[in-house]
Amino acid sequence: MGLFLTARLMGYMAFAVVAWLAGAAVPRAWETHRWPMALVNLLLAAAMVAWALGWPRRKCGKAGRSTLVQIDQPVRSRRSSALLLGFLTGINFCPPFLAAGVRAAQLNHLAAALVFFAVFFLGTVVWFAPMAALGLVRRSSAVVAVARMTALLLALWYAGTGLMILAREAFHG
Amino acid sequence: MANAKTTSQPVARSMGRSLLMTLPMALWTLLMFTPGLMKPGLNQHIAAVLTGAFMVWLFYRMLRTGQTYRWRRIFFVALGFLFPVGFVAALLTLRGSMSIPIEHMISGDTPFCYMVIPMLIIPAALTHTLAFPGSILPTPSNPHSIAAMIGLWLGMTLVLGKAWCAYGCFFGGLEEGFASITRRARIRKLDERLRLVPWAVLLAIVLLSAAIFEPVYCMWLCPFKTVTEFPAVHDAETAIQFGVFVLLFTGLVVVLPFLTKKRTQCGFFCPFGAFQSVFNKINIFDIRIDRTRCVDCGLCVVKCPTMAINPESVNKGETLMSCMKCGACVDSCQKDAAVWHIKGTEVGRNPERARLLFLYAAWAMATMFGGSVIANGLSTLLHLIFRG
Repeated sequence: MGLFLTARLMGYMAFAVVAWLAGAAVPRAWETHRWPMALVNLLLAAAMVAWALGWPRRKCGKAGRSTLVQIDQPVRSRRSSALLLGFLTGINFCPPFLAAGVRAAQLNHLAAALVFFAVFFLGTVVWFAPMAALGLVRRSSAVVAVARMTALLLALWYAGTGLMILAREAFHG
Repeated sequence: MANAKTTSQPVARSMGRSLLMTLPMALWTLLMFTPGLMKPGLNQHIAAVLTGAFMVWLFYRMLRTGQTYRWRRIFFVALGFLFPVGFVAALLTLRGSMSIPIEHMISGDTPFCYMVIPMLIIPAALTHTLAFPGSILPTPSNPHSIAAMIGLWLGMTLVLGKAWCAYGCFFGGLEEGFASITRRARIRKLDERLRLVPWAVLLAIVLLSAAIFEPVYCMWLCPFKTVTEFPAVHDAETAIQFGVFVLLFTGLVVVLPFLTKKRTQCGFFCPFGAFQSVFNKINIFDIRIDRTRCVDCGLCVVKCPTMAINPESVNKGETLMSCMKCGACVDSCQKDAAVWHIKGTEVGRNPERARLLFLYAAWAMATMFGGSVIANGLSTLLHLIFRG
């Protein structure tokens, strides 16, 4: 568990750096405009729709099943498996993670982005132990369906917010 | 309860016995409507007397015929259609308009609605702040504290579970009315997954409300804003807001109930209904399917107005947790297989006792809340008829 969580933290930190660099790469001239924020909202909405419709899974199918991490099989090196699994779940682009990435991209300093993601990590760790047991709910098709519908609704919200920002920008400058 | 239902339904009680059993409810009704009789004005007096008599008569008919759904529906539709009458009339008198400027809304000039409760929990727990205008405890400027209303709601919900949606909610009656217009449904095949949508709406509004500190459902998704109170339209954003309200109301409350004969807003959209479903799990009353009698005819599945029974649940001998105990399945079952039940007791053993215990509690609540709303709407109508 320790190795898994350490690797997960590394994943978080790596993502914080990438998110902040992406935010820093936005030219200063754009700061007077709100359309980059609208674009981010629309991208987030698109990612949520893709997740809700199960696009990555449908695209990969059974052939896309991991051969690197097989937690249900006896593995030679459990240590490397735990590390890999931790890192991969640390950069898992789930909707809340992407939303946090957007927040990190808006911060002024890299250190602030790292602290933000470290706190985000702590927040998820607190919940991690009980949530691991709750992973069983994924076996319920109803729970998965509700989660996907919720993602669609939230995508609608983000898309609406993005479009409204764009409309304001277009009409009021 | 000698002639209580043990073998066949409906129970036909004698008139004398039914009247005797109605007496406690009549006294309760008298107690509830005495304040209305104290108010000045002939309209209020007539409305109070008519509504009191109406509620007592319906309860008597439930006992006399052994049927629940048919009589409850009359009350519920009356509640659904008369609530906006009284509410809008009050708005027009006080404000001259159904729309409310957003600054007035923020300053607390909007009444508390139970729909907000799920959205309040996370922000209140994390920051001790309400994401709705109002105060947790009473203040000199706002004596109607939200804590008192939530306490009242919680008490009723613990006793009745999701029955609030069939005996207390003043929105659901509108769609039940539109669903009752035709004899046969135009659309019969409905996707099973639709009944999961309220959970998704609930989850989405709870998360968004916690994130942006705004009662998202009230601001963007409430269909009933169309017939009650809505934010004043002054720009494109508020116009879109109003458009969403009208679209949801027309689709979910008028057109789809008419086409499907289902309560589509309640069954396929309402987040508060999903929230109430949780309390069905810790509530003592439920509806069960007696498998020894059931012939799998599927009539209960067809008749349920919110798709709270499906073939799988019938096989298990129960309804889904979204059952609001309206009694439609029990009344329609030809084999007496769908029965009222108290958890922890044997299924099918004296179901009429379970029904009576439930009905006394549910109807007392219906009289207290719905009755006063009906009386208010009726009084407004009388005022309009006699004074113009």
